[in-house]
Amino acid sequence: MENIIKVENLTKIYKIPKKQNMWRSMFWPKYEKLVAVNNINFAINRGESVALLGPNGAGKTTTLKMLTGLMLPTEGSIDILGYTPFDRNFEFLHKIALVMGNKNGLSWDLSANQSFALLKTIYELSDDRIKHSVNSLAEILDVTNCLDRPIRKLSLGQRLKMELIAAIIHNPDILFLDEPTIGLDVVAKKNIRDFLKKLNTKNESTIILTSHDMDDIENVSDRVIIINYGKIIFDDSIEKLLSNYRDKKYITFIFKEPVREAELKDFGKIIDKKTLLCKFEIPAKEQTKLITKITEKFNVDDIDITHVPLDEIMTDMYKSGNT
Amino acid sequence: MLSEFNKAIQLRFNLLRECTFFSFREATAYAGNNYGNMLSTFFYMTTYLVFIGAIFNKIKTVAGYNYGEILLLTLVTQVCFYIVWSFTISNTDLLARNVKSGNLDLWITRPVPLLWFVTFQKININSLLMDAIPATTPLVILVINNFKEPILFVNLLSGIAVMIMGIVISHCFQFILNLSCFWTGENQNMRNLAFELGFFGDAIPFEGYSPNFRKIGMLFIPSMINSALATSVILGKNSNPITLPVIFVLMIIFMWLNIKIWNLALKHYSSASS
Repeated sequence: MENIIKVENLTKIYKIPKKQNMWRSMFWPKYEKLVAVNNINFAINRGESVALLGPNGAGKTTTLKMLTGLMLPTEGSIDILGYTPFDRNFEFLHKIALVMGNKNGLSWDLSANQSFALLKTIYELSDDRIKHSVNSLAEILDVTNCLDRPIRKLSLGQRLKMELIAAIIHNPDILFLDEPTIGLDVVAKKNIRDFLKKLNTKNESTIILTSHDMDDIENVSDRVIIINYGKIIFDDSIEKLLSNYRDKKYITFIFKEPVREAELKDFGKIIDKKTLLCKFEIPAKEQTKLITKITEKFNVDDIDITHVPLDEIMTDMYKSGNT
Repeated sequence: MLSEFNKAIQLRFNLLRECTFFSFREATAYAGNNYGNMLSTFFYMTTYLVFIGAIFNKIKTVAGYNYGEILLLTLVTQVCFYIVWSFTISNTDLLARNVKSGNLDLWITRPVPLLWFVTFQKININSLLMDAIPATTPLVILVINNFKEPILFVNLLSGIAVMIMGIVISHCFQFILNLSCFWTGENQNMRNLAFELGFFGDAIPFEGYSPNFRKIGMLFIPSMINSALATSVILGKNSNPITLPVIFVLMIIFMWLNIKIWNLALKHYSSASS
């Protein structure tokens, strides 16, 4: 596999002004150093879909900004397709795209098609190519009828889809996404995730994604890089991450008639209880035993067994600094 | 090498053209709003002309300028103001907004000559058409009717050259002060200061300043060059042969500073958090 992104000893240190009285901070400001990214190393292959995860302030967005050339690293090097991002080489910029869920690149007052005309000039695309690109992307994302409406008249989901089309209109090799589904409803989120997955598998686009929505990660990414306090604490496949928590299962029982919590508490650790529902957290090896006991004693309508959700794994890892 | 250069020029030209169309479409999205501005600039200009007329009813000259010459100065000032307003102010405001919101990220990651793009991203041609032409039409008529002295062609050309170079200096001056947004995030007050300095004393003839102030004032009061000095040159009141080369050198220095501070600002850009 070809490494298209190589990051070596990457460090970013911010200078933060120290709190002093007004005159001192005006004339003799003092700064303290905040290490946002601390000497990290990783490589990404062509066609991989990688999630950068971490709690707020962990350094994932700073890493993404350095990868896209928005910020200059304090130390270390980044090589993407043979280019250094901060140099803003046009050939490099033709091969990447950045989508930020909470930022708007399209003009609020114009239609998406009118904004795309400017992108046509920027990416030096022919009329036919941009028409084909926009139409096919709009069709997949189901926004064909919104292309000529002013952006301000579109829903949040439709706007984000237009931003996505604007970002990948030139068919980039690498797509950087920062919180791409933030604020969207479940249907719009699913649409965007399916689209990104298709883009990754069909076009072999490399995707680097940051999100706090674990469903984004599970549905779009194959590999996870977890950053905490500026350091990488995990870098492997999602399967490997889940397998670390394989010995724990969640079993949900749906009963045909109401069951009191007092009747269930001796069977295991209850993590959710509603009138007709009870969710247990148990060691994986005890799942058969629990199912047998519960079904013998109560009238069960349905059973659902799941692994520990990714967001709980993340919470656990962030708290413990697990590797 | 030459083809690369041609390609770069072509890209800049195409961007300029597309940004002009784009800005025009944006401006006309709210067509009704434009009439308000047109009326306000028209009334401002009319009031100002009445004020000048009232002054020259009582006195013959101001700093050696008669009524016709003051009207010409006003015309030059207005042309400079509208050009700077349509190109510079629109873009410095937009850049500051984009830096603060982090939307600049989406342009930094696109293959555009960034300094060129942020300089011409918003070309307010609509403002030129809707605000400048109706407001300056009475002024042009007054200049034609009241300006009697002959103007030498060479002075006219030199004056226009000074005006154009002065506009470039004024743009760089405002743009450089606006780059403070990369360090401070919010810089509305700095932009206000740049605006005030940019148009400070634009109704004062060049000869109205003391000789010493004329020399240093040109470094931080751009309107002294693009309006006052340009008019003085057109009228033949300033025939110093060194004027044009000095202004040219000053323009090059401001352009060089513009590029250097822009590169520094980009290195300092941390982008708003997501």
